[in-house]
Amino acid sequence: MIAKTTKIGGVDNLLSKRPAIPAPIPDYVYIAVENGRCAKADIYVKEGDHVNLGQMIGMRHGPFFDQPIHSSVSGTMVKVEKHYHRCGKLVNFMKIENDRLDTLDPSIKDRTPEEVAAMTKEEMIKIIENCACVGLGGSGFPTHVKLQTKEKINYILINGIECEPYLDTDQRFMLDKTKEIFGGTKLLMQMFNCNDARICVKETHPEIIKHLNDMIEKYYPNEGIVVSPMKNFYPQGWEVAMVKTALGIKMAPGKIPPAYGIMNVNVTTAAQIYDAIWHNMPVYERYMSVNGDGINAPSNFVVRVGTPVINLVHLAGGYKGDEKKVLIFGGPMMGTALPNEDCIATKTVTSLIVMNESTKPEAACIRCGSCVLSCPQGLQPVLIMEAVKSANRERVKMLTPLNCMECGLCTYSCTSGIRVTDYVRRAKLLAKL
Amino acid sequence: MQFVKETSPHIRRKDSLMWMLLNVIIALLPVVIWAAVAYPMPMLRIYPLALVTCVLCEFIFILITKKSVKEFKIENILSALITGMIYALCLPTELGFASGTGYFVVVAGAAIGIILGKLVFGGLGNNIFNPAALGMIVVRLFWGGISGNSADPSIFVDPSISAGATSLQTALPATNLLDLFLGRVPGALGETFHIAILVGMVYLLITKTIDWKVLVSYLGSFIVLTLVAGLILQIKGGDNVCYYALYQLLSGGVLFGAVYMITDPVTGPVGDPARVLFGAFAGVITVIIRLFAGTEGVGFSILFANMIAPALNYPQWSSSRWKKWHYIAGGALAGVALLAVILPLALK
Repeated sequence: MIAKTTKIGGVDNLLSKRPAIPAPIPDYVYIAVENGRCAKADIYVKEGDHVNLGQMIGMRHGPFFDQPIHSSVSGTMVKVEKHYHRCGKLVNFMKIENDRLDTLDPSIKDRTPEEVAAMTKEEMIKIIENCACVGLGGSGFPTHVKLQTKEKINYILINGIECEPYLDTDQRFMLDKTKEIFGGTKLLMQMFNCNDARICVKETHPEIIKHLNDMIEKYYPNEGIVVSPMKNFYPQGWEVAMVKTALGIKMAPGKIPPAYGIMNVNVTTAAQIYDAIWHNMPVYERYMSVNGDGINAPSNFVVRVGTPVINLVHLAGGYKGDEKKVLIFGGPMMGTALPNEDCIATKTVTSLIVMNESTKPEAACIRCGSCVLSCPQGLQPVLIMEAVKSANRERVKMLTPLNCMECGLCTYSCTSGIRVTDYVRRAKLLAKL
Repeated sequence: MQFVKETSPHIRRKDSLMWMLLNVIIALLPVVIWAAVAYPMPMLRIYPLALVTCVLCEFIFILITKKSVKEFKIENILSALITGMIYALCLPTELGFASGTGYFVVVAGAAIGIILGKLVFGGLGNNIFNPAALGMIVVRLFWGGISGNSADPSIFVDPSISAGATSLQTALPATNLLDLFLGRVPGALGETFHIAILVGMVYLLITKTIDWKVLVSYLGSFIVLTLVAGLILQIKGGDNVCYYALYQLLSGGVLFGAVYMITDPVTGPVGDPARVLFGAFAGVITVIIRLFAGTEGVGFSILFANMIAPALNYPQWSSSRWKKWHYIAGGALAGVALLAVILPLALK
């Protein structure tokens, strides 16, 4: 079929219509020591130590930032074990026995409205850094680094789009945690002295748009917060597509939103900023979709950070069918497939998608051009693939593969079932040489 | 429970190469059926032979290159069948079957077409030339004389320019446009049945098996140029311009080539601008060959366009979005085409 892919068809996102189920807090939680961005870390507690919920139990060292590690339960530190992390690697996890008391750490204290109102941008960023705020939409990029931009910010975009199929956490989150989202948005507006914030929601969710509009009318009238309806296509949640739909600004490849006076954060990140500044509270639980065609009872769960994935699979009714399964952290288009069930839901894991293995056989490329039509960056994946196959670096560079953000549409659209995205990834490596 | 570690994305669009190839075959069926009813004996002689030759060549190729019968997949059979089906529909109804040379010609054309047009480049998906068009051209160049003996007077040659008449003639043969449309004129096996071809076209467009941009730009440039030529001829005392353009469109293999051959994605470029330029280029070549070479130009124009497809996709300037050079190239093509058509006709 020679056609541009805009919608990822065949999937009804209905999870947000139902309440999110609080997942039972496990007897042991596992807190990642290292992660995809930070290769080194120090652990501040030893075996047998008592820890509180929200207590700083370690420090990760990234390439240009440090990131505290917080416990998500109160209890006893047991030991350090290896499990699979969402980056797909086997990393060290601190195993903490849950005493089921959820004793809060003394560092967690509420701030008064006067204190918050008097805060400067630098003070807020310091708190955000100490609470280890990261991009909870899945990127895991440290929020304090993002907020340190020197550019003048004119617009704040709160991304609640979630354009991948099977994902429905942010939609439910916006219905449940409206107060936190608006609170975080107000803090960002205060931080950048900006009075134009837009909450981006897909137009296919009129109930959420209505709910948010009602709340704005009730609590934040005339304060510059508006709900901006987004179109229903993939990848609308990509920042370039979002900025274009929300503000009509076309971003050049390689540019980041602050260069255009835009600060964009995910809805869950906004709520996290609210918790950090008002309560000095790091993230200890998050919303997670457990979905896919290989799971019996897809649902949204409120999951304690550090819950083993196998618990969630059991909660969602177990695996459906005997086919081989693909376990995915993140969406089915861009998420990471995990080698087995021995993996842990960290705070940047938005979802667990269980798919039956795709049975589309790989055939010869007939240059139908669906990948070229579908590519949101205007690249030509089939030509990139040919250049990679012929190992011609000059040709690869001419096709600018570094503009690719790996949305996966080329593989998805391929009539012949070729993993085109993999060739583009190789092209990116070749082009960087 | 077993788990698969794979790279993203993890879901696929619900279509397949097999269905795409099957759709082409389904779209060819109306023409095949019409041809079988209109010319039962020639179909019986040509069709099985062409199909078997193509599939056999593909099979031997797979055996030689992949060294395993298992690699001979359903896609290989289907694509070879499509080549054979299109090729045979472009052949004349009479190729000297009485003496037996006709059978040899069918086999030789099919074999040369699929081997030189497709298999030497690496088989399915790697070919530069449209194998059916190449086979048809080979038969026409090598054994064109045989068909001259046939009962049908105008086989390869467009009726409007047959019998040695020069292309610059101002009067067309007195043929009814309706007869042309319904295929009640002599011609190749399948090229004259325009209703069946249009049915196939609609099916291909609905199932998105072909890219409409190539089709539209090919037919569009063809119609515009024939209108221009017709206008000049009318001014000089020839037929009505609309009659002339319709006559050109409905005679010979223009519609057949536009629907089934020029739209073959393998031999064309990728990306919207390149596809539009590709189709327009083929349309221009068709008109120029028809007007000045005194022969049917569809097959040649497709092969010429196939040759420029890699240039249109050369990485240094290839783009999936409209760039300045696309407009310049399109403008240059239009200018050259108009000059090439207008000047000789006007000066004559």
